Amino acid sequence: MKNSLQLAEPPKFLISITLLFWGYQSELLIWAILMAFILEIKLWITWRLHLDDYGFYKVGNFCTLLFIVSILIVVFGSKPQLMIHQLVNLSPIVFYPLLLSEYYSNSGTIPLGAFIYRYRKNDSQTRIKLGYFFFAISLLATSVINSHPDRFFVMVIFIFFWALWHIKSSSVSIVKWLGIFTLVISISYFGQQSLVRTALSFEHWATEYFSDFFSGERDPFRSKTAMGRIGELKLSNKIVMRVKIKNTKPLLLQEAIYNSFYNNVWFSSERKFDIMQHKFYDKNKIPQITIYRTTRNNHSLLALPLGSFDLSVEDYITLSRNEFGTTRAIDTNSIFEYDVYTIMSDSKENKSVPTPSDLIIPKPYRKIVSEISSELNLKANVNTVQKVSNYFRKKYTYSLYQEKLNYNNLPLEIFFRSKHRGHCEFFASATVLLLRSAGIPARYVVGYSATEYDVDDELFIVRARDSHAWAQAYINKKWINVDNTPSIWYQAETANASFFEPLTDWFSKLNYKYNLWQRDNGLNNYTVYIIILVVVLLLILSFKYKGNRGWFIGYSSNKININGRKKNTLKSTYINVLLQQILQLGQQFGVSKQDHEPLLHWQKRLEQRTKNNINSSELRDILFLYYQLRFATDAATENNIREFKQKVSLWLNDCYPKLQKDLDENVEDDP
Amino acid sequence: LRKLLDNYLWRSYRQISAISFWLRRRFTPAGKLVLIVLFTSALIGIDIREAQSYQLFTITLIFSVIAIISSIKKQGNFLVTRRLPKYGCVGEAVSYQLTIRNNSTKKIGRLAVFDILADPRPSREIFFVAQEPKSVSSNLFDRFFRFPRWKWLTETNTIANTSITDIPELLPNEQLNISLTLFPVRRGIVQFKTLEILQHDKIGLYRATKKIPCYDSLVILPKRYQLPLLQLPGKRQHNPGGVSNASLVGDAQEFVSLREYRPGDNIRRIHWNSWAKTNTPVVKQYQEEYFSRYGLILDTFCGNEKTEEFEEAVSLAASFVYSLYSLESFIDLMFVTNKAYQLSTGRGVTQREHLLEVLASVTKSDNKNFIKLSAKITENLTTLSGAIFIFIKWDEKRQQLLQLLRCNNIPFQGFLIQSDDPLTNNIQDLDNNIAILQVGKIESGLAEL
Repeated sequence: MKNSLQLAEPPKFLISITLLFWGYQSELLIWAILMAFILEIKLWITWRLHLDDYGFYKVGNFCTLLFIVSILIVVFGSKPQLMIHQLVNLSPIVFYPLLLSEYYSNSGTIPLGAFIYRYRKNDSQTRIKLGYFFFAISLLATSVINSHPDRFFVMVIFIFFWALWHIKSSSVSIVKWLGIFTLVISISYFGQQSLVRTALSFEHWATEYFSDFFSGERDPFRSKTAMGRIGELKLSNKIVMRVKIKNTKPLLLQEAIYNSFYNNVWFSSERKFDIMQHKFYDKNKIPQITIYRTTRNNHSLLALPLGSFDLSVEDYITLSRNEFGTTRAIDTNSIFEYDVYTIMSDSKENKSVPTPSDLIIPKPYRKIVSEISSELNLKANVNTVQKVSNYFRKKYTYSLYQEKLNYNNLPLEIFFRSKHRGHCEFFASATVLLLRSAGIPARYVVGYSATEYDVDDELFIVRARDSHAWAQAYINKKWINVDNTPSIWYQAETANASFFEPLTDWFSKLNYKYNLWQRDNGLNNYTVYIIILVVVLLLILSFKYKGNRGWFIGYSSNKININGRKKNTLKSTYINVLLQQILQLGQQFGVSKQDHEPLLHWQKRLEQRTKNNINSSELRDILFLYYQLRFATDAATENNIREFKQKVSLWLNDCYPKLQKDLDENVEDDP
Repeated sequence: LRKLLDNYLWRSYRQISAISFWLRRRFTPAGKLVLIVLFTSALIGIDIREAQSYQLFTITLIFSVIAIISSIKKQGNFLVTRRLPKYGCVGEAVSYQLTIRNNSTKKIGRLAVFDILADPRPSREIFFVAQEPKSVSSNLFDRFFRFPRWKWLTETNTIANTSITDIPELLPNEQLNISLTLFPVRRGIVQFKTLEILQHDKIGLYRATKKIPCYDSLVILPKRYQLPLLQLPGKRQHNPGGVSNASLVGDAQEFVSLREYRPGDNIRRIHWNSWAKTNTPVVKQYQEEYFSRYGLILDTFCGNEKTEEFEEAVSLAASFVYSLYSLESFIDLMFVTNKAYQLSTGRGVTQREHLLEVLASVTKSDNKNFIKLSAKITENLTTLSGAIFIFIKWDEKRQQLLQLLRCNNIPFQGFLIQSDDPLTNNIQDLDNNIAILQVGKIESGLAEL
């Protein structure tokens, strides 16, 4: 009885349509057209390949290799966070050879062993049809590409319609079926929109409340200073940014801004980050600053000059900013680029209103700060900033080294009272507290100082050791940077440069150049990868190993496969011709081999019939050799075949006279 | 701790099997494909910014939900009758008939039927103590999680498989005969429990079910091999008491005379009337009954081990029962399960099909019961013309058994079934009359004899 719901063969053109859709989404349309074309011309091509199980296993091995190569492509790709997506996206290419072998083989099905190695050992008879499986894979591969949601929805609905219409039961009326289908589409459309809204709300909530768990990059809410730490501060020489700017004047790039100081830690009371509308990357427009940022994670705080707005990043990156101006990027690559088109110190982005917390001096420091403040006669005016700067310049020096301190003393108090030396965090924190004592709202800023100019590439190189801290003061209704760290800090940091720095810089530059080239030449990753893939596969295919039983090509005895077919068939035909000569001789003796009768059984009957007249032991040897050549996979060598031929001809020569004699005797016996 | 873990594993595997059985019946192949896409897109589509998989997830989810909802409605009223053949055989599809009648007043379409057989999942106790073959659980992981054991036990308990078959639309009060197919994979008795009538939804993804109890059973006979032409040794033997048999397969029985009782005579043969008249015991004397009687001795002593060998031994025994059946001789099948059995087949006695039926249900026995087999053979030494032994082990006890036959001049032919390559097995003092056959290559082994 026909089972109408069996998914034997997908409806016509379903796979091709899905493949084309996949190609269009993945920007591999030419490949997809080619793949679909090869599948569809099956209708006009009459020849089929004779592939046995081993042939399919070899195609399966080839697919495994393709899978390994795709993993390598994905692992070394530029977006590690999307590995699974990329792998799924490449899966139609991985499974395509198997589908092709099913389409163009005369069996029309694939043994399960082609997929699962365990089934090869068991010699399982289970066979499958790959069509619908490939259809599902292609659909999933299409869905992992970020594209226009509505376009994707329409295409998927069309594909579902095509697939389900084919299996529609004849007892269901078309109107009812269409009604249900329309209902499903409508609910799905509103359902997926609700899902997006829910997911975005959840993402916003999660970003807010779980941001403390973000690791690696600077924490936008909390900055623990190294004040009071013993020994010399050492920072890495790794290049973290490249800053392209028209002039060569060093600049400060702020990453995070904090306003509360407690126990050597700066906190930000502004926890709310709002998703920021940003421009999409446009290579025709010239930005004021272009920054190439390296990050270990897929999120990073953006280092920006004060008053930056009008940002542009790749469209898959999400930007969010808090009230203080700390800007965060999510879903970045390991190297990503962002452009700043406008920098205005009095822009509305720079008009974060000071809060009472911007004037708070922590209790342990109130005494010392008020002493210095009254000594300097600080008041809430523009001159105060200059006075504070002068105070630090005259009395304080820069040092990366900190000695052991008495537990009860606060590092910043010692910095004020006795030591008068320290690194940027001391100067920045001290500046903030002094400005606040004068009634000027001030905040603590961390970021980078771009000082090292690369003349060749005409850009600033920013290393991890260029990390810096300074203060921001609110004067004349705008925030300004106040950096009181003595300028020798940069030379002191540079003294720590590693011996291998030129080498690591060279690799870093190479990587940076490759990224630029890739972007400007418009070659997408996949095209490059597919070229690499084809070259690697060709190299592997040209390398035969395991003798005749190659993994991908080569023949094995009695196993007909794509490449070894002709040669192998010839061999087995030759052996069979020789065997037929023996059987014909037996027939002349009156002992015909029955269908399905084992050769050795036939030999025994022949032996009985001829009463040991013929050389039975030799015939037995010949038959054993025949079995070896026929069934042992690696026995069909040239030498063995030659030996077989010699034995057969010797035996036949020996037997023909006896046959003649036997026939004569029979004639005589016959009355 | 191991017991606790085993208990947990058993429960889990049981539940997973139940879910997979449910999915197999409830979702059409298209529905299963939709489910696969649903779960995969849920996994890869968490990030809605990076991919459109969430759309695929929503569409497949809505399709599944609508399909399930639309199939929730009251099923029709059906009357079903199943007509089974007498026997089935391992490896050969069995076709049987099903009559289904729509007793409702509505036309019902989109129907399919599925025969639910006895639950093959092993019981907790069996799962705990069973010993799967070493080849099944080859590594530490398998032995720890015992999934191969579960799979092996389930497969062992599965005698046959059935499939879902679509049936045409049924008009009110219409009766339909349909042909269903059963795929026997193992000898034994297939228990039919419930017939499930499935109706898929309008889209064709999900099936609603209606269960109709419909008990039946079918004997699946063991697999049989083609045997070579075996010249069984032996001659006709005196078979006293086999009068009725001799009339059919040997010389005709004739009452000859009365004679005096001699010690050893069967007291059943005493002619009481003559004793009363003469006052000395007199017995009836018959013309001697002669016919051939061959013993077919099946080795069942393997405890929990050697399942494959045992199955092959049963198949070989079935092949002999089937092939050696003739009008001129009897075959006495002897084996031990919990007690010793001797069953004869030949013209006038049990038909060979009945013996095959017995072989379909024969089970393994404990090693300590071997003595029962020896006793049974000793009992029949005087009547046997020859014997065929099917061993699954070779040891001293079996050697002694053959020695016994040899001492009594009873010719025999033996077969030893081995799972591994015979060359690698260290078999010592193997009798010349014993041929080694390898599991999975029995037919080719027989052909070489």
